[in-house]
Amino acid sequence: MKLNRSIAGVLYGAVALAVVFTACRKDPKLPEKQNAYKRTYINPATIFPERYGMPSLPADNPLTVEGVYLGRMLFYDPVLSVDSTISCASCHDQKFAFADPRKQSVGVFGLTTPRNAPPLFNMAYNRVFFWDARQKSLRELVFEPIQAHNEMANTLPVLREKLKTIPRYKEWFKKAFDSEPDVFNMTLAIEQFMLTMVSKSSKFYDFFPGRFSLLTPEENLGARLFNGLIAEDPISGKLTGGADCFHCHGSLMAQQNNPDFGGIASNGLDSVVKDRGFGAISGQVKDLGTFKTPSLLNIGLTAPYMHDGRFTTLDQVIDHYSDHVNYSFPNLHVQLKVHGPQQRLLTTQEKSALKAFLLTMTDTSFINDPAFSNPFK
Amino acid sequence: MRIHTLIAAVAATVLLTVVSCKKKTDDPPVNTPTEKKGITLSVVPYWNGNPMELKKMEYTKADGEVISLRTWGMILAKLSLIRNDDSAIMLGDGYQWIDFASKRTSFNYPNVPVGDYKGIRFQLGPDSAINHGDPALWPSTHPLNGNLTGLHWGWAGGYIFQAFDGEWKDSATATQAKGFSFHTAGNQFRTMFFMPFTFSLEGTHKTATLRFNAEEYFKTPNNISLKVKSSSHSEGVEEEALMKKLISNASEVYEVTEVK
Repeated sequence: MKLNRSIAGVLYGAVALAVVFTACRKDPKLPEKQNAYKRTYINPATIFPERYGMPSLPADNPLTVEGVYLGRMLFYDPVLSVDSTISCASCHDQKFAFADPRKQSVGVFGLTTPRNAPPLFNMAYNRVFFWDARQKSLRELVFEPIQAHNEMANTLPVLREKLKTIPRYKEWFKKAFDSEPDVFNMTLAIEQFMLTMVSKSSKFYDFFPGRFSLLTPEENLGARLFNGLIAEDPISGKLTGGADCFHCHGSLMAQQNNPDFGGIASNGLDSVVKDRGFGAISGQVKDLGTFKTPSLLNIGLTAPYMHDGRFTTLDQVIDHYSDHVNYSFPNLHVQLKVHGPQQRLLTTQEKSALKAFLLTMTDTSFINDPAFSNPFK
Repeated sequence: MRIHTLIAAVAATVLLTVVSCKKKTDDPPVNTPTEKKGITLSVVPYWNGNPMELKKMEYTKADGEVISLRTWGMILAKLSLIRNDDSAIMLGDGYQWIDFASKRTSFNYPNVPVGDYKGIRFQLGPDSAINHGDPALWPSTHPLNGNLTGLHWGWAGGYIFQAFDGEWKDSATATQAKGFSFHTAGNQFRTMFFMPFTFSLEGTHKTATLRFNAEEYFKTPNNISLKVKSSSHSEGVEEEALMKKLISNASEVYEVTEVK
């Protein structure tokens, strides 16, 4: 009897403890959806160098091997355009740091774009996209050229149906997103691919933030001009000193990324507004004729220059800043305006040095990286 | 007897279950020194008593020159509330980036010890070691991330502690505007500011309004005539002299007007 009571007590205790633990346990998780394919997540630290810092990546679109590869296929596939003739790569060529060597890009049916196609790299660090800074989201950006009448001229429902008929997309959308081909996951895939396009190797990259011993004497002079302030000679009154490129193109990425602090600006190309630029987006008079400040990385590869591709050589660009800034343009960036109306007037030697330094920013490994190349070749 | 034992055991089990599952409620009682409340710091830019707007409005300086502002940003360090006993309670990690152009002017700090305070203090610009460190190594949304703020010189000189730029004209009727630019940088221009204001942090969430009187930068005690010199980047003899004048005008710029 005593033994029975002891057994009963032990049993009761066990039941009581089970009740206590069961009561405290969180609700059981619902069984996860069976996914036939296990995606491989990419550690962002393998993409983005510590020297650039970790960008703010979209939390709802983690980088995966499958997503990036799908994005790369879509980037290079002319199937995105209405007549299957134009892909993203038609106007963003890896050889030119994903810029277009033509002044104006050519879309379907031979139609041209009003502005020069900008290069594509380090977009994970950019906060605004397009020359007029109208877009803040990479995935939203993707919709624009696909639907623009003078680029791919497609419609999203038509494109979705088209993608569904292609076996490789049925396979890779499944792998990347566990879905049928659809346009929203398409933008996520292209976003992933573009996020991985990081240019992080050049003589300039090794030089920064000031290892002058790596530079030739000419590049050295160019570097000092690039990062030097313009000063007024107290005797002659002429402008001398540096060329002050760094205010809008400083940092290891050679770009001012704060839109409110030189990231969107006018460099005095014209005396009157010929293209409203960011002013058409913001609706503010003070923004008319201003454009996104581009990175100078790979500048040796990305001719022609400026939003309208008006300069075909780097020499013309340097000549502009030295000799031809339109100080009468009302929305000229203040860092240029502060010295006007006198031009800086660089000497021939200074211009050559500045060009030599700018050419240290070329990243040949980026333009030859097979990870960004055409997967159909 | 058996029934009584069973009832007692069931009661004990129920009690144990309830107690073990109950959320922790043994937090310190109200108004102990470790209790924390939230406070929002709201920086409001003014020009001569009127709210200041960048890019849109023109403002007349005390000497008659007319300006319009394009940018005004600054990096604060050691941002703290000062207790009555002079001890400092750092807000967050003490760093903050204020940007009037993008209206980044309101900052929420949810966990500040309750108590009696006598003012707010901050340093314009980070300490030397941070100033000359790598701005890319800070998280992408941190006030010291150079790519976020743009307030960094690149490879020379560290952070820009404060930058304001814009256009100016000789008078309201002048048609051609010229540019002005003042960028404060370099260890010699790092400056500590204390704004006295007595308040108690208790009860509900508080908002401290920090009024920024921009016109003071140009007038008291040194008139900054843009006609004489319209830019300083804190480098070179003339520019350093002008920046010294500008920074010595700053004592009247910041003012805590209310905490409620």
